[in-house]
Amino acid sequence: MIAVSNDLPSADASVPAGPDWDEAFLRVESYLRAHQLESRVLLNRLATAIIAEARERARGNPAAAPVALAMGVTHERIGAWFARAGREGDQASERVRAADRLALVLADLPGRWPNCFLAGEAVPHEAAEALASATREPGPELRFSNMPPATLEFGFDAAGQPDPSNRGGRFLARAAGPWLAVILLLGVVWAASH
Amino acid sequence: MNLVRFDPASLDATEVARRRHRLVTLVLLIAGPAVLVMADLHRRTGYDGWKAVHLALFTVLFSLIALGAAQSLIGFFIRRRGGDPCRITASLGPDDTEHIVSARTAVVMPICNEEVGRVIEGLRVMYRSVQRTGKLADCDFFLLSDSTDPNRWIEEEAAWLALTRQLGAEGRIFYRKRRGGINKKAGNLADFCRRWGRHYVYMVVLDADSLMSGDAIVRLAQLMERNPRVGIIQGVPVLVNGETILARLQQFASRLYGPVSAAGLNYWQLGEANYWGHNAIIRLAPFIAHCSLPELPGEGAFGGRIMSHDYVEAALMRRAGWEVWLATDLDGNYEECPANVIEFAQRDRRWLQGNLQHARLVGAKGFHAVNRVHFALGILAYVASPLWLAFLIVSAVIAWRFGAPGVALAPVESFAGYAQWSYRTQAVLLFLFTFALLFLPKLIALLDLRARRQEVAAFGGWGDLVGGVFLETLVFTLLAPVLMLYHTAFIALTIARRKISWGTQRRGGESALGETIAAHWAHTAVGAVGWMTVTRIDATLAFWMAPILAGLICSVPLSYFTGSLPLGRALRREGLFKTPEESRPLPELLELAAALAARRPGPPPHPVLAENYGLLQAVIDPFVNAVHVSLLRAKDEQPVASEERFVGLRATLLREGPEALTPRDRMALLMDLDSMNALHHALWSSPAAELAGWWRLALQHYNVIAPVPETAFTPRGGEGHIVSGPTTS
Repeated sequence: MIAVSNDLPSADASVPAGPDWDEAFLRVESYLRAHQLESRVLLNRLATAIIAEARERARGNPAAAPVALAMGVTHERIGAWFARAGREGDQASERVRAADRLALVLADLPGRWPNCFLAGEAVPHEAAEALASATREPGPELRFSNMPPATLEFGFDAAGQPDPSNRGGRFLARAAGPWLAVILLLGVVWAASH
Repeated sequence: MNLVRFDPASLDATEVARRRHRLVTLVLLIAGPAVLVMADLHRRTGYDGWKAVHLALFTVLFSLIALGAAQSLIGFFIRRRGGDPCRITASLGPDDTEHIVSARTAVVMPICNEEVGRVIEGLRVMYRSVQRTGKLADCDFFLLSDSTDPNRWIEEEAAWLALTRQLGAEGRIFYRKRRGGINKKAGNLADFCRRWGRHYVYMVVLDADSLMSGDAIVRLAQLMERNPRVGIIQGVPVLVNGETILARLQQFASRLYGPVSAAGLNYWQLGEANYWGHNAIIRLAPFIAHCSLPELPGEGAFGGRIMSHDYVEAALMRRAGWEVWLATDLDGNYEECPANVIEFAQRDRRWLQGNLQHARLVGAKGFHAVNRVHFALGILAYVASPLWLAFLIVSAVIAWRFGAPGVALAPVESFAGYAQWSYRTQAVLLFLFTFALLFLPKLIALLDLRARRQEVAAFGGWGDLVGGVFLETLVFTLLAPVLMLYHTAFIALTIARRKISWGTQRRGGESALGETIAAHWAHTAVGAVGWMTVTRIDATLAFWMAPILAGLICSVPLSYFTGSLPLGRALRREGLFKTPEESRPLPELLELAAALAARRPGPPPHPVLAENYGLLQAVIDPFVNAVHVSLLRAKDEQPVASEERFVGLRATLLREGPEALTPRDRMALLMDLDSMNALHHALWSSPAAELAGWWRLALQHYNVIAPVPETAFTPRGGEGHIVSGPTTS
């Protein structure tokens, strides 16, 4: 269990209030919770800190929606945490972010190191190693085979003769004798009794 | 027990031919006299067109019954002698299982919108079972999804990843979703073969409801190693896990009659056996080289893509010189069966369409004669239904004409006096002979058990066995005419290229009354009209047709109650229709039952969200989204027009909700990696006011604020405080 760091900023007067910022706060908190962060204390502190930073940015960009600003800060913090964990890549790229989230799943970070994700202190060595080795193979290496459709021919040869390679014909020819004998026998019974 | 190891390569062609001649001769000896008696019966009243047709129909249908009876008779005598020495499983000696090293084997499970929990737990059980054999290093497992339901698709991905994590099976169990489901299951397997087939020597093909023990999988691989001329070995799966009455009846009947019948099949099929599409092992190199399905020329029901692939693949494999064998006594090989009559009919509809198409292949060049017989018997299995219906109608017409004024019995004695039978006696004798032949396989199966005391005990003893056979016979006798009408309608619809609509079935397979009535009202009506007609024609005819017409008239209650879960479970508690797999289940069956019982599904999603819950999760949930996009193919560059289309679709999805898009557009988004990334980002970064109500409701699932408790001081309406915006209705 990772102890929640005390160096996170606490709620203060710089944290704005109002419906838009309430929504932004809730969105950040929900997003972090969706990463299976269940500590209410940690969630609250992280969301508070993120909203405070987003508020700072809002001063320079008043037209931006608080939700968008707050989520931008959230992504930056997540990216910084992954960088501390030793994962490389351009965090502005959605593909890199998705790969990082996949690493969280594969390493089972929420299960094995609860409250580690985004906590202020250094990423535990084992967790960083687990994240680094968290790769998923979509399948064995591709080794393509050509699989041409089988050819089907219908009917007899052009010469009108049955195909000599067709063993079915030979089988039927061999079988015909005893079967004809049975049918003949039945015919004899019929003829004799009618 | 025969301790001499069987070598299929040394199988004498004369012996093969002799066995087949014996079977056909036996069929002729059974059917011939009956046809003779029927011909004589008609002669006594004078021949006409109706009677000629009647005799022709009787000949075909009676021959089919005779074939089943002959196979059972042969199977019975084979088993009494300690089993067939010419069976593929006898090619492994007691020491071979230790010495033969299995080659690389892929265990593949094609799935398409199946219940994910059952699929995953089945795979888990098989993986562990192979692990226990110590041969896990030789096996890789593949879930090959063709699911078209986004909810199923997303559920499969998450469940697969969870499974690999739980088993530590990364790089051992793989998941692949095809972008397009071209050529259905055959195309799904062909896609696997093209991508990864060269990694493996063998491929064990499963169905979504298959279950095979590790021993069975390893044994199949060892059998292939031992017999290098064999291309396919088809196991004979035992039906298990049935809970409704119908499912329990099927598994009881197949378990009781199956071994004798399978022994009879192996007697004449030998190295030209059939492939049933699952629970089989395939040698990949010849399969890749020779068994890719071509399209049939022409259009309509008999042209285009081959729908029923298995028979054709077996025929192609045999045409290329590889043997196909039936492993009749492979333990630890299971599958499940339809739970109710409607599911049964739905499955038959699929099989029927495919089998009818094989009519084109019966005469195709190069196939082995036995493969042609497989095609023909597969077609006749369904065409027999309209033939039976025609036979019944012609019988009624003949009876009506016989009773019409002015028509009298011709003064001709049976067999010109050699047999002193009255007309009625001769008819009854023929009828009884037909019934005796129909029930002969059941009697033979009971006789076969006489020397197997442990097996009898595992069925619950002789009392339960005989009672079970009686009830099973009664129920299937009543159901037979229902299936006859279904098959007849399916054939007509297939030829007319029309589709049939089915009601949605309840989970767990239990029948719903409304759907049952909708599915069977026409059968009831046909039965009622038939009853009124035959009672007017002749009371005796009505008596003989009573079981058929009773089945039709009672089809609604019959279908409903045989599809009942509570009744099925009650019968199981009473020990009725018990099978050895229930009395002494293998560990794999117990494991699967325990795993399925332990599964606790989460709370159902909000009804408004349920229909597109897979899309919801793939967009919103950071983990589900990450897993999903990791399984999508990355494209370096997207055509501008395509990118513009996706931008528009994404905007519509977020602003108007999934209902604003067509299912095809939703699937297109789900398959586009960049769109899924962009949607995840945009959804979480957009103010609620810019999102559709559907998404606002979806986001609430991730909120940590609970609604305000409702008290006397709560504002009217009792809504909790805002979460991420107003909810949808």
